[in-house]
Amino acid sequence: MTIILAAIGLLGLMALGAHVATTMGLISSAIALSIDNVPIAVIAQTAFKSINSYPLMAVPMFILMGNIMMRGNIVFVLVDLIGSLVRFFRGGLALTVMLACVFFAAISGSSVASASAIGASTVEELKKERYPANFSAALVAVGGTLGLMIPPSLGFILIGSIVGIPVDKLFIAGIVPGLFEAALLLITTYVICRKKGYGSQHAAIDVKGFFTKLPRSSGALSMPVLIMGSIYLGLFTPTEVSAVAAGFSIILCVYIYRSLGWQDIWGISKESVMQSSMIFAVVLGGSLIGFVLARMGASAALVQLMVDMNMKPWQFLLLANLVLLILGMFLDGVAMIVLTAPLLFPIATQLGINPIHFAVIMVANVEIATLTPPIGLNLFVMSSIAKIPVESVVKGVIPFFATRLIALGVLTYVPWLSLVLL
Amino acid sequence: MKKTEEPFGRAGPVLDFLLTVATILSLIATAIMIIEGLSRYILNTSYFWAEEMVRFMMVWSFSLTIGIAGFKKLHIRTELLVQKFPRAVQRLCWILSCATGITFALVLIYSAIPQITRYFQMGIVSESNLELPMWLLYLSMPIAGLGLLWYYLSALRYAWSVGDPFMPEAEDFSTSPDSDRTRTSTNPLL
Repeated sequence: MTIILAAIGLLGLMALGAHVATTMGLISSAIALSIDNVPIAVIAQTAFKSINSYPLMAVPMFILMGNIMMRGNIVFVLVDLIGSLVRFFRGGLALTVMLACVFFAAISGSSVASASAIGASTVEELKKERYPANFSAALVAVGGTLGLMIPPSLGFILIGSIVGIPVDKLFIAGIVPGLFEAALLLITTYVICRKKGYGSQHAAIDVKGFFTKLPRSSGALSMPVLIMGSIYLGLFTPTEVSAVAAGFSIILCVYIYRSLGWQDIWGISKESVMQSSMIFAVVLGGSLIGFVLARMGASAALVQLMVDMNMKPWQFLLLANLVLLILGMFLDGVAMIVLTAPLLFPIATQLGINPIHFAVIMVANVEIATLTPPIGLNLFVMSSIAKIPVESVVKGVIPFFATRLIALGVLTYVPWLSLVLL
Repeated sequence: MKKTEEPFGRAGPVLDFLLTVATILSLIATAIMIIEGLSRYILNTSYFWAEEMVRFMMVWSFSLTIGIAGFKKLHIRTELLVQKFPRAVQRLCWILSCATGITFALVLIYSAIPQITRYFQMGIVSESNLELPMWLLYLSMPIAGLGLLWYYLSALRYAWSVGDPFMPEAEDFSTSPDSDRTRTSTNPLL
């Protein structure tokens, strides 16, 4: 009963516009204090412990790196390079943009940052080639979501630090699903462009142009190699690689591409610290929810309920996806992970589902959440950049949305994709 | 870079100072982690203090900026329902949001005091050879609470006497035909 009342209070306050972090903190503190023998000091202890976590330290550094690469206009270099190879296809520029999204996903852990960086750099180019504005906006909004699945991913870091799964394993698990999703999105883009006659087509592959541009692009291309290679080979921990990558991004943008000055780096650092603080605040509030749920035995009770219902793993996965898809319409990705991970992971584990596979499924749902109205952040970002109403972006996203649901279904029921590299 | 004046004018210089300190802490932590990573990889030498130092610097950086992130409208919230209400009800919602924040901030401050007092009296130090005083590390929690309290009190005053204290800064979405609707959330990340 207490939990039901708390859930109503939590969702009610959030619906009325209270901040997610403080609402979670307040409601869970109230419940904690109502439980016998829980001293008030536990609240500060739990809060401190939640953010004093080594894996979580990768968050501020990956945010710094992503922001530097975004402001440093690295996307222009990449679009130029990729374009020389794929623009002989019908809709080659659209394919180039999608491939740039895949690449940027490998240097940014955030879907919104990816969409902002790529959208700002490519929407005008797409317009010049007469791609419809809603298609262009949708293309980037959808492609940007890959930033969450392809490592480094802030979603995986959060899940890892909340559930206690090694972040490096989650990063490695995200590679194949991310590339699989990217392949499906590229096929969708190609089919739409061919069917509707979008964009122009170059006569042949510009191999000479590609090799001319390659040296200039090599600095940017080496970033995903550094991040994924070092994690996959076990050279650095995810926290170490986040710092090294942040340092490398400064060298790239200040000394190699000269797209940023030290003054810009300072400004970006300040902004990144505040963004990290926002994430840490939600983690802090969520940790208190997790503490209360564990203390009241809610997670265990839910696990028992599923076992008593004789629920099969496939049924649970279907249910979990439905719940996450619905929550994703109203909650932002960080809040969604922080709220649902402590409840869903114990059930998944009890039912014999690999937690790493389940983490991939959860991130795939968060990706879709960023595209789902009314609170699909990428829709708003692209509405703002492309200067079109958000309804137009939604219309453009619909065919891609179907692709994303297919990808979610495959990732859910083919665990091999998530576990093959482990 | 746009300063933190609006709509909380007089807090600007102090917030900028705190943000500068937090940013320096965060950058030093990043530098330490780079040195640790490279040293471990190249020289096969790991520094016993690196991990703990990074954690504590980042925690303090967070504590100093949690309130500032509020002033900069970065904390996550949903405004979809509130936007549909008449102005008077909206004002009640803003005040309720501020009251939630203020109460949690007070709980955070109050709940940290017994632990800090105990650590201080017993002289407990951190687990590594750094032996940092634990009360100093835990002090970050009431500092975070104070930052939140400052922010929510300012927001409450603004909501009471002026208007929406949570409206995102116009520069982010000013070009969008849906600029009003973009206020449904202010999370710039995931």
